[in-house]
Order: sequence, then C-alpha cells, then structure tokens
Amino acid sequence: MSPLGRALDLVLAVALPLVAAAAVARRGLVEAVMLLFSLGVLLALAWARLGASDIAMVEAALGAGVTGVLFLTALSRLDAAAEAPRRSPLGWAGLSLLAAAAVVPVGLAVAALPRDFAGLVAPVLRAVPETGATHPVTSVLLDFRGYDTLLEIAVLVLAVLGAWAARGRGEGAPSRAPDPGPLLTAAVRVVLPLSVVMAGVLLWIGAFMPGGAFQAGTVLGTALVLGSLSGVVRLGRLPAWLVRAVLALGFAVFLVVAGGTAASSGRLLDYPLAHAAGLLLAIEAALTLSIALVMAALVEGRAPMSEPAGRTPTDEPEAAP
Amino acid sequence: MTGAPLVAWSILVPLAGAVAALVAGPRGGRWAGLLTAPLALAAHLGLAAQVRAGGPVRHLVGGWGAPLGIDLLADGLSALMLLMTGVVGLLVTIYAFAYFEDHGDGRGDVAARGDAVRRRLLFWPLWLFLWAALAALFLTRDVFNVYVTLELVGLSAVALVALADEPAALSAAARYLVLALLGSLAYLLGVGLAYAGHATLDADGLRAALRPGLLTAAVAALVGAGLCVKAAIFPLHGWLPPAHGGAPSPVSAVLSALVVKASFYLLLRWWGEILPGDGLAASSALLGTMGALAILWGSIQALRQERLKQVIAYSTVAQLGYLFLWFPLSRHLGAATALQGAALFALAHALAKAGLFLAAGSVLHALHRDDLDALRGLGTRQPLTAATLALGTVSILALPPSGGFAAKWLLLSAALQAGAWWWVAVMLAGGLLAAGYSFRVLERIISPAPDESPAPAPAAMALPAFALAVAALALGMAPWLPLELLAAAPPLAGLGRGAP
Amino acid sequence: MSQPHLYALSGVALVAIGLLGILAHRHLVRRIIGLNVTGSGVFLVLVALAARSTPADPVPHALVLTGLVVGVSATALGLALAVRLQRETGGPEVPEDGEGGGR
Repeated sequence: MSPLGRALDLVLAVALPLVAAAAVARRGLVEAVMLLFSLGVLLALAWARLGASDIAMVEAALGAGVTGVLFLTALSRLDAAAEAPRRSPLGWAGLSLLAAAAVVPVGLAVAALPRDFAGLVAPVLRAVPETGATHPVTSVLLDFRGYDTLLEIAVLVLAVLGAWAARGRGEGAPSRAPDPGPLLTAAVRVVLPLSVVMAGVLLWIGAFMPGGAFQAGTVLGTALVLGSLSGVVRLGRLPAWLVRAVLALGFAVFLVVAGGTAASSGRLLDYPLAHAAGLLLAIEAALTLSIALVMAALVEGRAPMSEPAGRTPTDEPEAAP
Repeated sequence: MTGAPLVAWSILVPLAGAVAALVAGPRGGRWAGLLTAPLALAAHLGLAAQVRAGGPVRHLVGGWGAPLGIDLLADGLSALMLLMTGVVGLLVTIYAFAYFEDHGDGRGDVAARGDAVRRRLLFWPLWLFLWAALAALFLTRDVFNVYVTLELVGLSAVALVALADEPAALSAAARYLVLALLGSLAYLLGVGLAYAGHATLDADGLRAALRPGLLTAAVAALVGAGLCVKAAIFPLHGWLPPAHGGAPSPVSAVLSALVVKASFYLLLRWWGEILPGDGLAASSALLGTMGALAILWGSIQALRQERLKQVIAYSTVAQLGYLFLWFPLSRHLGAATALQGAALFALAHALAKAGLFLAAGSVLHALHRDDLDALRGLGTRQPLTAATLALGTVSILALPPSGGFAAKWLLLSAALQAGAWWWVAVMLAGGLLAAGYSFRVLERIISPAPDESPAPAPAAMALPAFALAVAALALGMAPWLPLELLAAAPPLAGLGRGAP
Repeated sequence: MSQPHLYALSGVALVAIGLLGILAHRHLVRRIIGLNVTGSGVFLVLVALAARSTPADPVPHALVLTGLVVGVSATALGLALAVRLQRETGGPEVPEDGEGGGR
C-alpha cells in the first residue's frame, strides 16, 4: 500500500471518531446534525478506501438525500434553537468511562482477530455463475440472501407506516418553499430527468458492477424528494388508494415472486436458472421503485387517506375513493 | 432435505395480508386482517402437524443452504411458538375487528374522526407485518436474518404503540424505539464479530465453530445485552410498563403475549444451542438472578399500581422472570424438565396475558377509565369480561388446573431436581406476591356495583378475550399436547452439557 | 496495524461515542444522532473486517447495505416521533424513568 494511502487511512480513522464525538457533544442541535452529515461524508470515503463501492454509493446518496432532508425537515418543526443543558466535564468523563468500559472488551476481541481471513469469498465466487448476476454483492443481496432483502423491503414499507402513525394529524399543510423561484425550478427540471436516467443506469449495471436497486432507488428517491419540495412533482394529487398501492408495489412484486417460487418449486425464492437474470432484474426494478417511493413518502409525511367530511350530518367518514 | 413450503407460507401469508390491508385502506383493512388471520393460523397448524408427525422441517431458502444461504427450521420449539402466535393472533384480530370500529367514529370533531380513520388505516398492515415478523423470527436459523426480523418486530411494535395518540403512549413509544434500536445494534455487532471470526451466520455452523475465548465472550456479551434489553428483563425493564400500559389494548395484548417472548426465545437459542456450553456458567447464573429479581420487583411494583393495565403490564415484567430461570436450570439435572416448563410457561402466559389485556380493553371501552375502583361491580355489569379477568388471573397465579400451574410445576420440579432451593423459594415468593396484586383486582370485581351501569363492551370484543382465558385454562388440562410437539422435534440438541 | 484493523478499531470507537450520545442526552433527536453514530460504527467494523480478504468479502457488504436501509427506516420513524412529541408535549425529551402511564 502506498504511503499516501496509509496516511489517508490514518487520517480518516482518526477523524471519524473526532467528528462523531463533536456531533455527540455539541450543545446546539443544528450543529450536531450538521456534524452528523459530515460524518456521513467521511464514512463514504472510508467505504471507498475499504473497497466497498456499493456501500459508498448508498451512503453518499442517503446522506446527501433522504437522511439529510429528514433531519432538516424535522429541525424545521422542532425548537431547533434549543441547546442541550450544559454538562460538567466530570459528568462527561463519567459517561465516557461507562461507554468505554462497555466497548473495551469488544475492541480487544477485534484487535485479536487474525490479519487474513478467508470469509465466504470462495463459496460466493464459486456460486455466482449460478445466479442471475455476476457482481458478487448483487448475487448475495438478491439471490443467496434474497430472503433478507425481502424482509428488508418490508421494513421500508413499515417505516412509512410507522412514520404516518407517529406523525398523527400533522400540522396541516406540509412545509414547502412558498415560492421555489425560477432558478430552482429550472435546475430541478434539468436534474430530475438526469437523475431518472442515472437511476436506470445504476439499476442496469448492478448485475455486473457495483450498483443495483439500492443505489438506483436512493438516487431516484432523492430526485423525487427534490421535485416534490420544489413543487415540480406533485404527489398529493393522486387518489389515496393509488398512492398506497404504488408504495406497496415493489414489495408486492417481490412477494409474488417469492410465493410463485414457493408454489412451483416447493422452495422459497429458488429462481429457475434459465430465468434467474430476468427475474433478478424485474425484482430489482420493482425494488428501485419501492425504495424511491418510500423515500419520497417519508419526506412528504402525510398519510394517503381521505379526511372525513366536514360538518355534514353523515356519520360515516369517507373512505378512500 | 427440502421441506414442504408450509414454512414459507407461514411467513408469506401474513406479509401478503399486510400489503392487502394497506391497499384496502381504512374500510377494507380489517377485512384483510379477518381473512388473513385464519389462513395464517392454518399454515402454522399444518406446519405443527407436520413436525409432530415427521420431526423437524428444514427449508433451505433459494435452495442454497447455509452458510451461503438462509435456512428456516421448524422444530418442536419453533412450531410451538408459531402456534402461540397464531392462536393469540387470530383472537386478537377478531377483537380488534370490533375495537377499532367503535372508537371515535361519528362522534367528536373532524380531527378526532380523522384520527380514527388513520388508526383503522394503519393498525391492520402494522399488525400483520408484526405477525409475519414474529413467524419469520421463530423459524429462521440465520443469525443475521434474526437481526432483520428483530427490526421488523421492533419498528412495528413501536408504531403500534404510537397509534394510541396519547402523549404518554408517544413518550413510551419513543423510549421503546431508542432501546429497541440500541438492542438491535448490540446484537448486530455481536453477530458481525461472530462472522468475522468464523465465516458463518448459520446457527448450526456457529455452534460447531464457536469455542470459549475472548471473541466468543464478546459475542455473547453483545448478543446477550441486546436481547436482554428487548426482553425487558430486570433491570432493563423500564420501557415496558409505559409501552404496554399505554398502547391500545389489542396492541398491549400482542406486546406482552408475543413480542417479549421473541427475545427470550432467541436468548434460549443462543444460550442453549449456539454458544459453547463450557463458558456459560456465570452468564446463566446472572440471567437467572435477573429473572429472580424481575419476579420480585415486578410483583412488588404491580402491587403499587392504580390502573388495571399498569398492574397487568408489571405482571408481565414479573412473569418474564420465571422464563429466565430456565438459564441456570438448563445446566443441571432436570434440564429437559426446565425446557418443558419454560415452553409451557411461555404458552400459558401468552394466552392468559392476552386475555387479560383484551378484557382490560373491554373495561376501558365501556367505562372510559381503568383505575381499579372502576372495576367495582364488574361481575354484575360485564360478567363475561369479569370472568375473563378471573380466569386469566388463575393462570397467572399458577393455580390448578391452569396452564400456568402446569408450567410452574415443571419449573419447580426442575429446580428441585437440580437441588437449587433458592430458585424454588423465589418462585414461591413470586406466587404469593402475585396473589397480592391479583387480589386487589379481583376484590373490586366481585364487590357490589354502583348505581350507573354503562353499556358493556360488544360480544365481538368480550368473546375473544374470554376464549383466550379459557384456552389458558384448557392448556393446563391437556399439557401433553404441546409437550408432545416439543418432544417430536426436540430443540437444543446440545442440551445436557455441563450437567454432572 | 493493518488497514482493516485500523478502521475496525475506529468503528469500535464510533460505537462507544454513539453510546455516549444516547446516554448523555434526553432529547430524542440527539439520541437518534447517537444511534446513527453507533450504527455507523457497527457497519464500519463489519466492512473493515471484511477487507481482510482479497477480494473483499461480499457477504458483510450485503449485510451492511441491508443495515443501512434499516437504519434509515428507523431514523425516519424516530424523527417523526420527535416532531410529534414536540407538538403534543412541548419538547422531545424522553422522560427518564417515568413509571406508569400518564393518564
């Protein structure tokens, strides 16, 4: 490894805990959030240094996109100026000791691990030709451990439901820039189609290079969020049941494939080899859509349901059209 | 060894139901639930029958097999847990079918009605996702897959608590969320370290590979800490009473009956199967001690509560302690009996506790309050609900002929076989304390009614609650049924190590 | 120290720092920040240790991708709760050991 690379690794490995400590210790809420974003950028660099390109892409897209927007939106609705109460240095020292004590055995165990490690690399590489992809991470994510991914998409859908439950009635109209202005609108009108194209490319190449549904989905999701926030894309116009259906569509497609394989071959998610590549692509496309819509829905915030009628004497609230 | 896909259907059916409920919306959601619940229970029953007849059923997802792929396994224990989920799930579904219709509909201002519509929209998909998550958790053999199912369970549970729309419930949900996530992360780190040492995420693979040492100790500490937080064992129990007490009653029922059992089940798998037995003496003793303290502390706190749902919630804290006695008891003579006791206890507690919470919900529904004095005269005003409370309490008190009695009997004999009289003493003390807090409730139920008699809860709510309490009792009269299932495909093949 | 071990220990430090953040604050958003830091630490440990293999072990990469998505889901839920708590109770501080439900 080059000395420059070594130096970079050293700087990153030291910077990460420092920035994290600042994020945790700073009294101002907004500053803490900003430091968290910086941590995300540093992490993306670390992923790249460690050869995890797939993860670097997702981290960058999430941090700059969805996670960022979620935090900033929340900040705008909270008392963001509130500062954490001052804690004495002794208090910090005590808690730090506690946290360190909890973690020291883990650190020792990690340090004691051998330098080289075979892992599952050999079995994975051996089996990749039997999957519908050639990029090993994609094979693991969608084939060997596709069942994990199925459940994980369920977690995503669940997150939206949970956010709706947590939100309650909400504050009326969601916060949106009152007038996005011609510059923003023009920029978004360029960025949006480009992002869609890029998402499509990422989706396609995922079979044989770092990329795939997660990366494409987060890019597309960020684009949707941008469009929605600037008013270029209007998600609220669709009927409520349709919004819910589209939200669940990606997961539903994956579920249908799962049920289909279970019914036909008696084994869950056992893709027939001849169709594996096509199935994988179809699933990934559905997942891309799902991930993107979930991201957009999380930012939008309002549950798609018809509000009950106002002061009419009818007692049944209107259900979704 | 490919299994028939009943293992798969047990998970896919509730997932599909959740999607259907989401699309169906506020009006159709409960019908999706009502249709899915019996289908899911049928899949679980079919699987249990398969296990009983032919031994463990293993399903290699994707056809790959561990360590590359994920294995699902239905043995005696997981089939039993699945049945528990199915029975409680079906009855809670029927209850909830009526519960969410009668709340705030047509009354109150527009905003309140909007709240009711939103609750109807969200409860059904959240609940069915939770059901699917529990099924997936009980059936999986892959320790990372467990992490995903734990998150699915945790997030859906938090969301369901938040549905109550009360400030107390929202605070409880926030606390639950932070602790659930912390627990999951600790678990994930433990699993990651295990993989980093042994290149496998499969339970059986890890069992073969893990040896006592620094890495294994770190793994055990992380996994144990994470799961203990989720299991709400003393002293990490603080999040449970507000969450279980403040949630909507069908949610409380599911949380106390099923969700907490999931974490205990995982601890049982790790301590009984995956981790090497030689190094577990100290941690097993620690877990048992925490269990004993939970029994005592939870019961004492239950005595101090003024609201019915809070009494029941603290009772859950105490009852979980009995389950944790399995850890020390599993290392001595009588280990097999201890396992039977723990499994039966989990089952009996699930049935009784769900019935109790649903009954409490019926009380709240009729009277709009659940402070203990509101229970005066319940015996005459809402006899079915009162009977549910009484019968459920009988099982919690472990009085014959209830399922709770059979379970406690087994645990006591396991302790006696091991010569561990101190656990016996704790269990007996726990019984006395439980009698204390139960008496406070029952005493009010049988006292004469005050003058006003508001309308009782609808039968669609009172009956499922009653059915659960009766089931807890029936379990005690036929305990061999679940025990035979357990014996048909015994889990924990490595049981008995460490015994003299 | 090898590159994997360097980053792995950095990850362990992140886990501790995040834990510190959760313990030190009662504000829900600060705790969510702490959880994010801890989560990132866990992921860093996993990926760093996977870099010991050549080529890098893809299984931990897939696990971390899954974990990242799950983490975003949890953060979204948590932030929605925080905003709601602010609206309903005037502040997203999670009460310390509040026994018993309010009402």
